[in-house]
Amino acid sequence: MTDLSLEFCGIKYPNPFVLAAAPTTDKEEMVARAFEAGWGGAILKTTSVETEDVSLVYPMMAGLDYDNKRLAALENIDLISHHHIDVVEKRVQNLKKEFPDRVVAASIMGQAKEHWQELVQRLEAAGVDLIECSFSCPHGMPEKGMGSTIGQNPELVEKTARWVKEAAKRVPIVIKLTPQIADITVAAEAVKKSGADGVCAINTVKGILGVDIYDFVPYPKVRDKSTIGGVSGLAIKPVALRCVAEITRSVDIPVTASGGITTWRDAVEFLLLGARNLQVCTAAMQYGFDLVGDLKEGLANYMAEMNFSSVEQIVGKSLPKLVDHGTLSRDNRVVSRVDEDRCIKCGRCYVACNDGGHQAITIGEDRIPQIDEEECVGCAFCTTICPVYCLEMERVEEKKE
Amino acid sequence: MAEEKKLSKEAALLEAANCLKCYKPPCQEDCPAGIDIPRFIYKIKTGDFKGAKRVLYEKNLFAATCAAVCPVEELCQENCNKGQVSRAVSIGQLQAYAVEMGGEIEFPEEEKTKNPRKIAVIGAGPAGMTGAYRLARAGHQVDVFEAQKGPGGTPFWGIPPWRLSRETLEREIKEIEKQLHSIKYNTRIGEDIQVEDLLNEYDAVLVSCGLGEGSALRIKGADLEGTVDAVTFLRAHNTDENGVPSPEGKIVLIIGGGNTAMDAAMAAKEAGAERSIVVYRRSWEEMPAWKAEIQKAQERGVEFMLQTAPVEILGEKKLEAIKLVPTRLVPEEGRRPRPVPIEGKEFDFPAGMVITALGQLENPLLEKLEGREKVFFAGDAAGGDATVVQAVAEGKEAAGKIMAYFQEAKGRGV
Repeated sequence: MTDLSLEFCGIKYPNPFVLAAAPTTDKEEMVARAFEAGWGGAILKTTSVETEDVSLVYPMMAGLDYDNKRLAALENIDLISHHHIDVVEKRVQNLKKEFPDRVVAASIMGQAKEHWQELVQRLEAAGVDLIECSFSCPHGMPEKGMGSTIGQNPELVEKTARWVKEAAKRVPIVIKLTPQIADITVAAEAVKKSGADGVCAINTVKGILGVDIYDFVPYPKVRDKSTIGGVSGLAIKPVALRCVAEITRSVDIPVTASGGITTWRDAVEFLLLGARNLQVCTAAMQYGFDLVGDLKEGLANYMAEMNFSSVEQIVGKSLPKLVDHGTLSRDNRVVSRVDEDRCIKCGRCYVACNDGGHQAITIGEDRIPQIDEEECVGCAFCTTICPVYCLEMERVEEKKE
Repeated sequence: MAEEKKLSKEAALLEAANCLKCYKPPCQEDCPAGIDIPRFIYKIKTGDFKGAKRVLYEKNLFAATCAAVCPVEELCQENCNKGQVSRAVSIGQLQAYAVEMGGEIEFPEEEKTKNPRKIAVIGAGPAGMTGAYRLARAGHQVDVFEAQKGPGGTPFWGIPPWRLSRETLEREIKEIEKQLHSIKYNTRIGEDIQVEDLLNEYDAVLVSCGLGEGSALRIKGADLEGTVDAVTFLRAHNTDENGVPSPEGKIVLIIGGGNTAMDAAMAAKEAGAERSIVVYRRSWEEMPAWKAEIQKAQERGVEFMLQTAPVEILGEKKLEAIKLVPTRLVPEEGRRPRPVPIEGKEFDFPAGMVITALGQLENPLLEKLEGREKVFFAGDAAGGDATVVQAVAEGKEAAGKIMAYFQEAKGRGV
C-alpha cells in the first residue's frame, strides 16, 4: 500500500481525503461509515451554541444539468446543522474513541465572541482534532451577521479568528474562506495575522441555480419563492483552484482545499497548486462514501506512475508554473494539428474555428480538417471541442515577418 | 428499421445528447428526404419537441410513418460519426419521439403562384401525396386519382399494421388532403378515366401509381390452389380483404429473399401459420432483405431454408407439398453468385400454402405514359428503391420539376 499520509496544520492525516462539513457529516453513524470506507478525516457539520436558532427550509437543493447529465453543479440553501454543540461534542467523543487514527474535526459558527470561544473550549474538551470556523456561508447566515459577512471583511476575519485562536489551547484552528471577495489573499493574510493555523478555500460560490421558466420561480423552490444560495460541485472547480493557488503562492499558511473535487485527478490538481488537504462534499453526496477508495487508488497509481514516493512531493509543484500574464512567453508560436487516424470527420472543429476563431480550418471532400498554418493563430479553441481529442497544439518555428 | 420500443422522455433527452451535431452531417446526406437531423435532435436535447417535429415535417410529410418503417441502419444511422466512437445515435427512435411529443405544428403560408395550373396526380401513396402537397401549397390546383378505395399506397396495404399503425398514416395523409382540390378513390386511369382525357384536361400529370402485380413463379404446379403472390397476400392480410386463403394452422413456405418476403413470412406467422419458412436460392450474404428485417423475422419465429430452390408444386387440385432442390453457388464476375441446383438431391416438403415474393411487375399504366409531354414520375413507378422516405424524396423532386416545367413553358410563352 502506497503511503498517502500528509501533514496539515501539524496533524498527520492517513490520507488527504476529508469529508467537508456538510450533510454527509451530520450524523455520527454516517461519519462512522465514512471512516470505515477509508476517509482520512471528517469535519462534522457546522454547529453552534444551544441558543442559536437554526430554522431550515425545504427543499434546500437544486442541481445543474449539462447535456442532460445530472449535477454539473449543486446549489444549496441549507444552513448550519440544527444539532447544537451539546450533540456534536458527544459525537466527537464517540468517534474519536472508535476511530483514533482518523482526524475528527468540527466546524463552528457563532455570533458573539463568547459563542465562538465556548464552542472551541467544549470541542477541545471533547477531544476534537481540529476546528474549522465558517466565515463563509453565503446564504441565510449573513442575514444574521454571520457566515460570509465575516469572510468578506478582512478586519472582521482577523478579529474573529483571534477570538477563536485565543480560546484554543490544543487544537489547530482553520478558517474557511468565501470566494465572494475581491482578493481572497487579503482574507488569508488576515487569518495569518490572527495567529490561526490554516485556511480552507473555498466555501460555496454564491449563485442562482436556475429559474423555472413556466412558473417563474428560481431554484430551489420553497413554495413559490426562492433565495440566493451556495453553488458547489465540479462547475466551481476552476474558481476553487484559482483561490487555492492565489493563497498558497502569496500567504505562508497551510490550505485545505474544497470546491469541486470529484475525481483523483481533481485531487492531484489541488495538491499541485499547493493544497495540503482535500475536502470532498458534493461528489461524496452524489456517489457515496465508497468514492474514497477510488480517490485513494487513483492517487496511488498516479504517484507510482510519476515516481512520487510521498504526497508531500506533489504539493505545490505547479506553483512555479503559474505566473503573471505579463511574464508569459510572447514568442510561443503554436498551430493546431490533426491526428487524421483518430479524426472521425465530424467537422466540429471547422465550425468552431470558422465562427469562434480565425477561419483556419477547411474541410475537403474527405471531410478531414485541414489547418491553414498561416491563418491559425494558435488559440486552441478547436482542441477544446473535438469529441475524440484528435487535435493538439504543436510548437512551430517562429513566423518569418 | 426503427426499433419498436418507445423512448421515455429521460432516455430521449440522454440519447439526443449523444449527437455530435456534425458539420455536413452524414446522417442528413444519407437521408433521401434530406432532414436536418442534427437540428431536430438538438431541439429534442433542449426540450423543444415542437421545434424538433417542425424540422422533421419541413422535409418529410410522412415523418411519423418513416419513423416507424425507415431502414435507419441502412440510411441515416449507417454512417453516423458517433458510431466510430461508440455507437450510432438512435435517430429513428428520436424521430418517433419527436413526432409523438411535438404536438400540433404549423407551417408559414407559402407565396402562391400567380399562374395556378391544373395537375393530376395518379396514386395516393407517399410519392404522389408529397408531390401533390408541394404543388398545392405553391398555389396550384391538384386532383389526386387513386385506384384503391383509400389513400396510403404501398405503406397502407403492404406494411403490416403491427409495424405501422394505420392511425399514424391516416393522420399524415389527412393533413395533406386538406391542401388538395380533390381526391378520387376507386378510380383507375386507363379504365375509369382515359389517359388521353387526362392529358387533355391537365397541365401536368404526376405518375406515382407504384408497381403492378407480383411476379408469378414459373414452375409446374404454380397454378394450384394455395399458391399466392406476396403482394396479394399482404394486401389481403393488411386490409382485411377477402379472397385469399388463411395461413392459419398451415406450413407456409415463402419463396424469395427480399423485404417483401420477410413481411409476408412475418404476416403468415402473425396470422397463425404453424410454420413460416423462407426459401431462398442463395445464402445469407446475398439476401437482399435488410439485416434488421431478417433479424425481426427470426425473432418472430420465421424459419429459413437457404440455398434451396423450388422445383415443382405438388398436389391434385390444391397444393399438398413442394419439391425443392438444394443449390450450390457458382461465383460470377461482378455479380451475385449464381445458384445451381444440385441434381439428384430433390426432396419433397409438406406445405399448406406457398407465398411467392419474387418482385413486382411494372405497372401496365406506365407503358401508356412513358415519354409523353408534361408527364412526370415518382416513387416505385419511377423505379425507386421502395422505401417510403425515397418515395417522399421523389415526390418532392417531381413537384419541383413540374414547377420548373411551368416556368420554362411560361418563358416559351405557352
